[in-house]
Amino acid sequence: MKPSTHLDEEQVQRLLHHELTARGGALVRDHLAGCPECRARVDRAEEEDDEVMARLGHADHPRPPIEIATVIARAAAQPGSTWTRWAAAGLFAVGLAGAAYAIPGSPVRDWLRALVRSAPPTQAPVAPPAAVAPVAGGVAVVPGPSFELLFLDAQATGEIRVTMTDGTDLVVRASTTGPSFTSNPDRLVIDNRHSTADFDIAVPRTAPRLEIRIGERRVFVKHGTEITTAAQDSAPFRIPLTARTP
Amino acid sequence: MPDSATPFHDEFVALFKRQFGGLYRFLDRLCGDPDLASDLTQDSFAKLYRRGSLPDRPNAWLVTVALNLFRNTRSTASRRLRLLTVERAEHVHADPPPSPEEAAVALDRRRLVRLALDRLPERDRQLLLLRAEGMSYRDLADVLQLNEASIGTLLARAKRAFREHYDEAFDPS
Repeated sequence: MKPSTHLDEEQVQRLLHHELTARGGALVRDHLAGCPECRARVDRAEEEDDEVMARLGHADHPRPPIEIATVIARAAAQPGSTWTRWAAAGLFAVGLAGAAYAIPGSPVRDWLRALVRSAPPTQAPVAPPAAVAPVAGGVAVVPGPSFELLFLDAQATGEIRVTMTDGTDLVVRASTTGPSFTSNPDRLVIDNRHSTADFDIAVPRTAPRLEIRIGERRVFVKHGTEITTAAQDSAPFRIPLTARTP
Repeated sequence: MPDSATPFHDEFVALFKRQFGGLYRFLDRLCGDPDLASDLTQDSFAKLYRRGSLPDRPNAWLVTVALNLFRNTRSTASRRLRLLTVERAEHVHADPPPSPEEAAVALDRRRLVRLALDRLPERDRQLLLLRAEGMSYRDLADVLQLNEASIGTLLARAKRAFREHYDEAFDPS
């Protein structure tokens, strides 16, 4: 490399990431010794690299405590394993029995009829009466000009029901105890981690801008009179609190 | 299935301890879904275990398998059925939960990073995230089917684009 030729982007990155060959590294170091401009570029590139890596760390969720035994058990359950072959053999046997049943004049039909006749009669289970969801907790706040309602996590079950009202308060009611509420003028945070509650939310029609999020996911936006949501129904808007389907 | 008394089993255990965290983190950042990332990471290691021997470059092999699995899952909704299993409940309880305020701030930061990552082209996103896990230029070229001689230049561009998108997301005006 000529002394007058500055480092290119590839060389700068390779220097940062220790990816230069021995000869290439020597050339780059020689050049840097006499070129303050390139030294400054390398310093800047290093700062940028650190900044990007640090920001990426903000996207991380806690690492799950997966045991190696879990992974080995999963390997055993993957297609082609012994267990899967047994399952496949079982399915084949069921298919074969079905075919035998379908053949005209097959004795399999008579065997099955005899079996059914000898089985004791069973009572159909009685469905429990439909439960009425009790209201177990809630909060009312006056939303600021641009307000956010944040559910901290998706739930195993549960839904949000949003209705528009003529009142001035944003009212949130949970069907069970457990969720907690923290608010400031711009935001109401609902700590619904580990909750299975349903939530009824009354939104003032006069709220200029209001947004409902489940974790990072925006599920309801009211901007003036315009409402954007994935909810199917509109009276009320029903939004599942479960994780989304991709 | 390999026998637990074989040398491969010991090598696999050592590799699992060394690489599980990094592969999970890469997939978590790539898809933004910790449950899916956990599933894919476990499935990738499970495939390696079923293979019965270590490939020449296990890290590159694992990432290639994980990316293939990820592509497959994007076209099917079946994996969502695994959500919130016992495993998920365990890991939710594994760390003391942050306060609601801390959790909200963390969500805001995560959202900004996600917005910036989602705006990157697929190749740049994968390149950036794999390099963040310390993957060598040779393995990057191999896994992403790129020319090794230009990995540094592509990385510099990906980082620049990420920073621009992040700043835009931070201050949309």
